[in-house]
Parts: sequence; structure tokens; C-alpha cells
Amino acid sequence: MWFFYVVLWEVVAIKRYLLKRLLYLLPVMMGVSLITFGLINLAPGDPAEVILRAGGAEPTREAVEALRDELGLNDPLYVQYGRWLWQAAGLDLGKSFRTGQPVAAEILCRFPATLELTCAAMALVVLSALPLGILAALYRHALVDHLTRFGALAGASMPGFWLGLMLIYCFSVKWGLLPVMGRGGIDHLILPAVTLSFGMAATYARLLRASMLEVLGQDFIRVARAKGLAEKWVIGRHALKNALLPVVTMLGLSFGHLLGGTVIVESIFAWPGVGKFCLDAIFNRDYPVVQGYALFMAVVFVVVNLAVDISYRLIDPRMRLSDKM
Amino acid sequence: MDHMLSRKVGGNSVIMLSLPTWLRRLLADRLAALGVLLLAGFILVGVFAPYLAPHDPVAVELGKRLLPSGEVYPLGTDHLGRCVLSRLIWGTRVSLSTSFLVLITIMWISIPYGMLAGWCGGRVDNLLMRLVDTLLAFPRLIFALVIAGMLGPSLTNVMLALGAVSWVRFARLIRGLVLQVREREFVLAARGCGTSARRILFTHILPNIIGPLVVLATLDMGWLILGISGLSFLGLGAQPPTPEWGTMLNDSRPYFQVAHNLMLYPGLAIMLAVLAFNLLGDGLRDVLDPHGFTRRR
Amino acid sequence: MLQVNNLTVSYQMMGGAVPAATGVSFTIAPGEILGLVGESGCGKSTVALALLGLLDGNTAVNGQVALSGRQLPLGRAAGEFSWREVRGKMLAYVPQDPLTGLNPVLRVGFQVGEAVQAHRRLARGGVRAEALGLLKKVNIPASERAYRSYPHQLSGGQRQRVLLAMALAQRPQVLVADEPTTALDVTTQAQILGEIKRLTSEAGSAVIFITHDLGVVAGLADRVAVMYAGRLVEIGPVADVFAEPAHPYTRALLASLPRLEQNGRLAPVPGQPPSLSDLPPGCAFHLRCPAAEIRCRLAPPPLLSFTQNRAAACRRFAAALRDKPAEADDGARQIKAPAREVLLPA
Repeated sequence: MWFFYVVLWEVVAIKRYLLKRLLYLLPVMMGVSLITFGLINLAPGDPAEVILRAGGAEPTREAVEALRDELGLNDPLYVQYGRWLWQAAGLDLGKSFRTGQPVAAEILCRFPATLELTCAAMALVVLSALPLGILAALYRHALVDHLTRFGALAGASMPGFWLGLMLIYCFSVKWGLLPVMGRGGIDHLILPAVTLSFGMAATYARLLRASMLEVLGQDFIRVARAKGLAEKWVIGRHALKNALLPVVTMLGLSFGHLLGGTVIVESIFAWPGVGKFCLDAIFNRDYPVVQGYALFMAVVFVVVNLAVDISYRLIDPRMRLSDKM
Repeated sequence: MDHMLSRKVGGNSVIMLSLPTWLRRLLADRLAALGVLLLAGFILVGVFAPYLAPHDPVAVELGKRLLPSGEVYPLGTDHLGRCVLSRLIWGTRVSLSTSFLVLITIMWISIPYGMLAGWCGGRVDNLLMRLVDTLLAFPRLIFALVIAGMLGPSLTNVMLALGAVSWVRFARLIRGLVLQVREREFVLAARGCGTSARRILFTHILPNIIGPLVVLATLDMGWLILGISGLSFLGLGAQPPTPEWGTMLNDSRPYFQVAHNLMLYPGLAIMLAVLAFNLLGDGLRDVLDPHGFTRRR
Repeated sequence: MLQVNNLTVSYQMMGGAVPAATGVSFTIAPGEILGLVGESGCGKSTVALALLGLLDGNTAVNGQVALSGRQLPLGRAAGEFSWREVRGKMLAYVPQDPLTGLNPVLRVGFQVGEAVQAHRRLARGGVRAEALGLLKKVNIPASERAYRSYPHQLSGGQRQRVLLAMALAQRPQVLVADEPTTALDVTTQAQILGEIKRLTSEAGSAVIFITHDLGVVAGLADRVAVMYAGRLVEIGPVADVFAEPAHPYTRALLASLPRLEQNGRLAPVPGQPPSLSDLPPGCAFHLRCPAAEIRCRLAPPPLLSFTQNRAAACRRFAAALRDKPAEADDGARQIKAPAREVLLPA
């Protein structure tokens, strides 16, 4: 019960920090929206023309001009930006060129699939990196240590798309154990999640190992042992908490890496998430979708980073904002 | 100190002792030495590609499609009858040269940017870093994907996109390093005798921050290679007939039941190239960046 | 009560084995305070950690250590369980830096409670009460608040008191204090020294007090042991050793202490201490010794005892002092300036 009150107290203390951070975020988000808006100007060709072509109509000069007027493309840029920003704030990200459906709705309805994949991968990372990292630190130079080192190097260097293809070949084609693509039950989730998590898991195992070794060399571990405490207790209670701190931050900050990886994995496994949606949109020249995707991902990324930052402050007592004695 | 090092390194001490200290320490680390070896191998293959490749990488021979490894075609042929080995060899050129070009461009932009921000401090620094923070708000690969997607599928566009996305990390690192070195005594002394800012920055500060910079550059090369081949795999990068490892992997997808060598070798090539840079980068980090400025990945 | 016999510790480094401590032997009586002095790198911390089995992995430990007649396990092969019965209960440790000695992410009260609970079973309330009592005993103000605090919220002196409390929680027979006041300012240092003296005499614990500060030793210790280059070179009651140092190194150390009435130049010990991986043959000090002889180069001198409770590792002076007629014991012996006349002619 008291734990709840402690958390509440900390959150209240953090509120001012949160406010400060959010205030700082504002110009960043403005910049993000500006850049995302500007993206559409990178595309070659006239958006109106593209729309007409996509609709199957003939892009005559009059039709193009008429559509341009209708879409407001002849207004000065800052007016266009303002309009776009206003709409975006109201969660209106425009309509897809191809299907005419609102972009925001399309993205939001596909996001749970990506989220499922990302969370599964995250879980795999934690479940495999944690024990491996700790064991590699405790049994230095043993087989576990060498295996994780090798695995980390391989994982960081291996292209994810290659791993995905190889896994499909082995498990789906050759041995027929798992389905090749699509979303469904757990068996559909395994291969994509493994592909997505492999590189990260290996890297984090090594990170945890390094962090653990650093902590184990500290004086307070010596003092704890000198008190006569059991080794398991010293490792579990004293060492681990300290070693996890930098890893937790890294996990959160690498969320972006994970998000980037989803595009490739979704493409290989035909997973119906936002990444695949954006990829299809790129080839269909469906620019509003691409733009909306960029904005959406940026927002998600920023929010996650903020959450990680706050949770780090909650976890590390040295960072808490309570007063000194 | 020297005799201790030659004892540590062992082997051919005469050669070892003639190399600069950091190189000695680097090569003493076996994994880093492996990275150097691999990288040297790749560079040689890339440079001598015209002499090493047994066949023309872009010559289409529809009569010889999807052959397995044999005498004439050591690694077989792809779905258009092109020699896989030759395409791999020429692909080395493509991957290494493009990622290197991107890296150079990044350095060209980020070094002045970061130095300016770090040196001036105050409002200039704030402004410059706001832009950096904004760009950092996007997940890297996704942003590159979007930019490349908007610009249109082509290798040049992929290079531009990756460059636009990656320079910010360097700028932030450089700024941080400059902020630190700026307070050191020799810089204060130089300022005290009226040395111009530009001279201080380039003759005093830059040599002192080169270490972590080189480490980040090496590690980023690996990421760039993965990025280029990844975006090519998705169809956004190198266009046919350019032999690029990522595109080769993509092309192999419809055929992997019949010819899995098409899928195996390009991926292996990518992995080994990235591995070389990662090994080298890790080794360099231990030697050049003991304080771990580059550890925040 | 604590008997150390021929303790030898060597570190396995890349170039070979480095002898951090060689042939160290001494005894400690119950309740006695032994000051272990020497320069940085002379091996005193190594000896301390070896006694507790807290050395890192790549060390080779030889010798015998007996505590109250019971042989202590040495080296890593000893195994966990045998050490757990000794540590905390019979031997305790206070580290040098109070900030790194406490776990930064756990509350102070929790850590003190661990020390209290280490070898017995107590109810939760009992642990808390006893921990609070310990904090009060070491004179930490506002002990309730300190109990709930994290280490970074306390001052350096308070942290050191906490470490003391943790070490003395089980009333150990021997307390090993590794330069506990080096990281503190002078005023706090004096306070902590006072606390150590008070608490250990109350608990009846003997203390091995490691320091490089001779002044601290003079004020606190009963006996002093001087180490040089991994060897014990002199040991004896503080007053005696300071008045009439036997070993040339001890003599040089005491002579180098600046004094108020001194008017001339300071007299440091000439030369540099040798690197442990590259020791000179024979006596480790002979290259810097003003009274070195040929035989000093041949073999390292053993620790020769020349009165019933003093010993020195120098063939020349130990013998000379042993043959000296015993002085009348005039009760309380003050520490005066080292008599330079002790330098006997060759």
C-alpha cells in the first residue's frame, strides 16, 4: 500500500519535470510537423496529376488545374502548411490517393498489428538477453560468455531481411513447421518476432554483461560479501538492480530501431501492419499515406522516449527529485 | 612500457614495434585484427573487381538460368543467367563505395555544424541543436525509407536519404566533444594569445576529438551498408541491372525453393562486410575511445 | 587470536605473476588495534582483502591464517559456505570510499538491516529496531530519516558511520578497516577515528587499521606494522617503534615527517619504491638504504624479532638493537622525535 503512495509522490514531483520536458518538446514537434509536411515536396511530379492517374482519369490540363484548386495546392506554402497542421492536430491526415479513405483511420486500424509484433519482439529480447547477459558476466570466459559474444557480433551484423528469409526457408519450406506469412495465431507470430528481435537480443545480452561486470567490480559488492551475505543474494539484490539501469534506458531508446525493423519484417512475412502499408503506399505513389506514416511514427517515437526517460527517473533513486537530507 | 607491449603482442615483435601505439594495441585484439583482415579483403575485392570477376555481372543469358554451382559458374547463376559470383564481386564495389561516399558527405556536413554549435554555445548552440533534436525525433530507418520513397527509387536517392538521416548523430557527438575540449587549458591558452577561432578548432580541438569520431564512423559504415542493402531489398535502392547485394536478395525471393544459393551468398556477403566494420569499430573503441562517448547506441 | 603465517599473494598478470605480498606474518591479540602502514602499492590492502577472501579472481593466495584457533580458508578454491560463516560474524570490513561502499540504489536502512540479519533469523520489526539502534550508536543524527534515505543523500562522514555500523553489527572479532578516513576531510576524520576507537573497544573487537598516515597510527593504534614492497619490514608497539625505529625504512619515514620546530629542508625518502613486478634482488629497500651492505643484496632478510614483542626485517639493526642493553622502563613512554643516534657506526 505504501508503495503506491511513494509512486504517487514521485509522480507529483516529476510533474514539474514533465511539464518542462513537454514544453521543450513543442518546438521539436513543430519541426517534426514542418519536415513531414515538406516531405511531399520531395516527390517528383504533380500530386494532382498523380491522383488523377491513380483514379484512372486522364490528367488533362484543365482537370489538373481544377483539382489543384480544389486541393488548395495553388495557395502559398505557409498557408498550405497551416492548413495541414490544423488538420493534423484534428487527427485528419488527409485522404489516401489510392483508396480515398482517411489516412489516419487506415494507419490506426493497422497499428495494432505492428504493435503486436513489436511487443512480441521486445518480450523475446528481454527473455533471452537477461539470463544470457547475467550468465555471461558471472561465468566469464566460459562457453556462455563466448557464445553470447559470438551471437552479439553475428546479430549486429546480420541483415534482418536475410535472417527472415533463411528462417522461412528452414522452418516453413523445408520442414513445414510454421506458416510462411500472414497474421494469425502464435505460430504466425514466432518467425517474424524472432527475426525482429535477434539482433537486439544479442546486443543487449552483451550490454547487460558489460554493465554487470562493471557493477561487480564496485566496492559495495565487496562490502556486501564482507557482511557475510549469500552470493545469490549479492548478485540478485545488489548487483542486478544497478546493472539494469543503463540497459533499461537503452531498451527504450532503441525502440526506434525496433520500429525501423518492422518495415522490413512486415514486408517479408506479409504482416498487415503500418510498415507494409507505408511500403505499398510508396510504390503506389500514395503520398498522403507516406506523410501520415512519417508523422505518426515520429510521434510514437517521441512519446516512447519520454516515457523511458521518466521511468528511468523513477527507477534510479539518485535521479529522483526528492530533497536531500 | 614498450617491452611490455611486445611481450603482450608476441609473434613478430620487430614488425609490431615499428607501428604506432594505437595500431599495435588494436592488432593485439584478435577480433579487431580479424576485422581489419576482412575489411582489407573486401577493399581488395572491390578495387580489383574487373580482374577478379569471372564473368560480366550484367550480361543476361536466358539460356543459362538458375544453374547450380559448377565449374563455369562457381556460385551458379541467377534467374536471368547472370553469374552470381561476378555479381557479388561487383556488388562489393557498389556497397563499399556508396556507403563510403555517404560517410564522407556526412562528415563534411556534421563536422562544421557540430564544431560551430560546440564552440559558440549559447543561443547559436540552442538553435542548431533544436534542428538536431527535431531530426533525431524520427526513427532512423523509417525516415530514410520515407525520404527515399518520396524521392523515387534509385541508388542516389537512397544515399541522399541515409545521409540526411545519419548526419545528426555525428553533429551531436562532435558538439558534445567540442564542449568538453573547449574548457581544457591548452584551448584557453590559445584563446589567450589571440589565436583565431577557426585555427583553434582545426589545429587544436579537432585532433583531440578524432578518436570517438573515428569509432562512430566505423560503426556507422556497418549501419550504412545494412541500410543501403535493406532499402535496395525493399526495391527502393539500386535498380536493375546494378549488382547490389540487397537487390540480389530480393530477386532471389521467388526462386528460393529451387535455388537457395541465390539467397545464401548475398546475405552472407552483407553480413561479413558489416561484421568487418563492427569488429574494427569495437576494437577501435577500446583503443581510441576509452571514455565511451560513443556507447550510446 | 588472529594468527597470520607466511601469507603470500600474487596477481596473475599478462606478463607473469606479480607478488603483491610475500611472507607476511603477524598476530593480533583480542581487542588490540594494529596499524598497518606503508606507501601506496606496498601490499597493505592486498593483505587485508586476502584475510577476508575478497580478492579478485586472478590471484594466488598461500599461507595459513587462523582465527581463534580455526583455520580460515584462503583463495578461491575455498568455496562459498566456509566463507559465509566467517565474514560479518568473525571478520568485518570497512572500505576506503564511503560513497562507493554503499549500494546507491538501496536504502541505507535496508543495507544496515542486511548486516544485522546476516547470520540469524529475526522478525522484521526486530531487524528494523536493531538497525535503528546501530545507527544511533554510531551517532548519526536523525537516525529515522537516515534509515529511510539513500546513500547519496547523506554526507561523507555519515556514510562512513553507516559502514562502521554495518561492520560492527555482529560484534566481529576482527575489524579490517582499509583507509577508512582517507576520503574524508580532516575534521570528519578525527570524529570517525574517535568513533572507531570507542565502538571497537565497546564491542571488544580487534582492529587492523590500514593507513598511510603515520599521525593517525600514532593516535589510534596499539601496535604498528610497516610494509614495504609487499613485505612486512617492522612490527612492534607504537610507542617503541616511533621512538626507536629499527628498520631503515621506518626510520626514513619518521624522519621525513615535517615538524614544527624543524627549520631546515624536508627530508624525503630518497628514490622511488620498486615496481612489484620488477623487484631488486635481496632486500627490497637496499637500493635506497643509507646503511646497505653487501649481504643486503644477497637475500631478503627475514623478520627478526629482537625483543619479545618487536621484530624488524633488517639483519643489521635488529641484531644491533637486540644486543643493546635494555633500558629502564619508565612507565608511560611518549612518542618523541626519533633518536638519530640510533644510527650505529658500521
